[in-house]
Amino acid sequence: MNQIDQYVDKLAKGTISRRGFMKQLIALGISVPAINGLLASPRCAAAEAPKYGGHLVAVHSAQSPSDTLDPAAAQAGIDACRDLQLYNPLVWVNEKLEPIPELAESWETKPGAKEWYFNLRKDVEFSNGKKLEAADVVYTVSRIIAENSKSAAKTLLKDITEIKADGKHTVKISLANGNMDLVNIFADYHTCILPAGHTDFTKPVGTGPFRLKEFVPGMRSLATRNPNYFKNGLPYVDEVEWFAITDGNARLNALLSGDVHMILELDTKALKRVESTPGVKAVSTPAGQYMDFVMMCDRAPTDNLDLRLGLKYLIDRERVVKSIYKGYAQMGNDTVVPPSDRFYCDSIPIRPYDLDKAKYHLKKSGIKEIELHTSEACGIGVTEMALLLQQAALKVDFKIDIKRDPSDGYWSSVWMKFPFHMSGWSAKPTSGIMLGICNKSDAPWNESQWKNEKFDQLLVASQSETDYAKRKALYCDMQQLIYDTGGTIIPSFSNLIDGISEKVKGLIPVPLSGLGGLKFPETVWLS
Amino acid sequence: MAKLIIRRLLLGLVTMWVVSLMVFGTTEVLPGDVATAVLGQSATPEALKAIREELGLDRPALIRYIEWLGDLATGDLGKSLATGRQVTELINERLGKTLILATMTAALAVPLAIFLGLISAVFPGSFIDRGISTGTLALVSVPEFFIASLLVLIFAVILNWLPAISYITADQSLLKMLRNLTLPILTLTASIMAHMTRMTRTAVLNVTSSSYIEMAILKGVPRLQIVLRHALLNALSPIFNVVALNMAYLISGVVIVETVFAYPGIAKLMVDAVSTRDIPLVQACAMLFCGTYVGLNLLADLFSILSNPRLRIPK
Repeated sequence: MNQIDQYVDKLAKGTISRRGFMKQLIALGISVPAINGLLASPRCAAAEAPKYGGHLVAVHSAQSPSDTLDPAAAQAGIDACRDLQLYNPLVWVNEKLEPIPELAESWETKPGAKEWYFNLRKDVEFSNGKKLEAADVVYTVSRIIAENSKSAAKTLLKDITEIKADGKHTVKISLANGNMDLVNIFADYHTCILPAGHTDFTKPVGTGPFRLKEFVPGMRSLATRNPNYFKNGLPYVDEVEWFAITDGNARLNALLSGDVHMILELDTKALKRVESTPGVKAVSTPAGQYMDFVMMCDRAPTDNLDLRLGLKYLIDRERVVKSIYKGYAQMGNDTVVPPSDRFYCDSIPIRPYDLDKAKYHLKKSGIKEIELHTSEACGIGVTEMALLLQQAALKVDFKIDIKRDPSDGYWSSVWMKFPFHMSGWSAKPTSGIMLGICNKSDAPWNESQWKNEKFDQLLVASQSETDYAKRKALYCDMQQLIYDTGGTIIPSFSNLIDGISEKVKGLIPVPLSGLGGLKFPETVWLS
Repeated sequence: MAKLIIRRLLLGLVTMWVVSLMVFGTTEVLPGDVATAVLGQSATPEALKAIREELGLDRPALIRYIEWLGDLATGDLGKSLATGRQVTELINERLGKTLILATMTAALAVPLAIFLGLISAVFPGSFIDRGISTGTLALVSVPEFFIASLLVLIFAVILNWLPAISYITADQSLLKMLRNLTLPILTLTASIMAHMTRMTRTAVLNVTSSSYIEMAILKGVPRLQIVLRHALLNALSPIFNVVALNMAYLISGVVIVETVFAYPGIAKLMVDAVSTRDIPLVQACAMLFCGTYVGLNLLADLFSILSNPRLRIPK
């Protein structure tokens, strides 16, 4: 009994996690229902009660003097976190990427998904005292879709033909084509809602959980708690300090030495060190980001289907997950949809590492060697992945010549220029959007230039299909098409891995990006 | 004397002009431009065209060079392409931080290096001389990032005495600022000391082989007094020069230390500007660094002249 008391104490002080607590007690021979009873007792419940106050320091991996507080113009994660501190999007997403209410308390659509209604909360106030109204949403979205807009979200919203206020608290949006992903797009940080007419982003006005205290682009920002935040009781911390440490080692050291509470992007090589240091831990979230081999279908030699198939059989996906990502990844099946996604097609088996099949297809293609361009710009571990393919190719007498290009300028002078090269993508709000970006025939970033009329038709059909089961079947057909003839090898989807201090509680993982989709300042507290 | 200074200044200006040509030329041949860098992987031909037209990047290089040079001469560094903010503003934010780090490092490294150099010169070939020589050489041969990482590992991660990153703000007390800057200062000191120590030693020893020192030795003047009174003053000129060079390095070349300690200095600003193809910012930084080198060398020459009356009359 004494030992149990000890663990209860530890849990109350936060020196042991709930999970650790369960494990220890099970080891002592206590039954699970009994443990659950213990956990429900006031002493243990206190352990999980959020604490107010404190100065949270969190760091990103990149920043530049071009950092901005204009959500529409935001370019990178460093901006995203600030946007989510100062503003709110209409919608947010949960761990499964299903939309949940944020500034919009509900939404509905007509069959065909062309006409949408978003009902706003009525109790939301901007930091200048103005109440949130439909006109603010209309202003924000119109700004993004305006002709001269350079916003990255412009293409996501290009189908909007009309947006107008339908009463004071309802926004009506009409689309040229049906789009079931529209709700998820409104969870994108670029679409954070601004007060109508606002243009001066040195003095941001937003509805967010924090208010700006200091911001120097390329250096850091400091924001203080918004006491009138519309989500009752949130946020917990008084101040959020947010900046970037570009160097991975320096970032890790800052966490290990206790200078910062949370760091984005842990190198898998650093996992061991984090796991062996008391007081810090790694947090991993399965997500949709990936590095891929691009085999451009519009030029020789990669326009040869047998060459593409041969190369697809050559990659040892299990080994990629195990050795490059130390297990912190999911196996990919050459389509942009990760297994963790609700639209992933289980009925297509993952293509195995099969030297015989590879040899057969490569021989049939008549091609004996190929040049592969790669660069660290694609992501961590890209070289290892290229080498893995090269080694496997040697076993079937196929020569892959790896050309390593500098990160600087890779996207403008190598990507989509050479027949066989590597690329990398961060996760997009939905897999439907990703399919539209990477596989639609007329998409500007269709990196493999794989063009399939049937796929395009399926994509359009899936976007206006309001029935979930039917929609999923359409997604499956699309994945099958890409699987059969597509121009990308996607061996794996790497998890998002971040490092946090054990003092930080309340982090809700969201597969959009590391550190809870960068919305952590709203929910975390310091114990 | 005045004539000499004016001549030097004019020469400095010519140097700056040549550098301006090189800077402009180099930034022209960088692959890609600000439009491709800003949009990155998400570039579409329409978006690229829109940005280029807006920034005037579609005009001929010669016209852009002449405009830029004219603006530069009148002190207008222009607007940063990537941020739309004034370049002067961006540089001011960082320059102050860089100067703080450079001054503090110099305040430690310069006296220490000269002191060690003098000791070596007083006892050439001795155990101390060899120790100093080996020690400083060893420090300069180890790459900066290694020393920095080692210091962070020991003092920040293991002992937890000092912070691993050096973020300083205007409202910090001097003591806290010093605490934040200790590790970068130590790292930089390690990497610049050897150069200055060895130069001091060599310069002083060079002078001690001249005949008037021989005379002093024959007269029976103690070694320490010979070095300090007779040799050092005559050896100051090369020492000033090497100090100036190292100071200029501290202002323009400490990008590794800035990266490891996440210190927002000006060298990092320039590297970031290169990667975002923010040409006005790159050019302004390059010109600033060039100006620093020219200015500090000029200053070193002036001090040399002041310390050596023979140089005051040009031949």
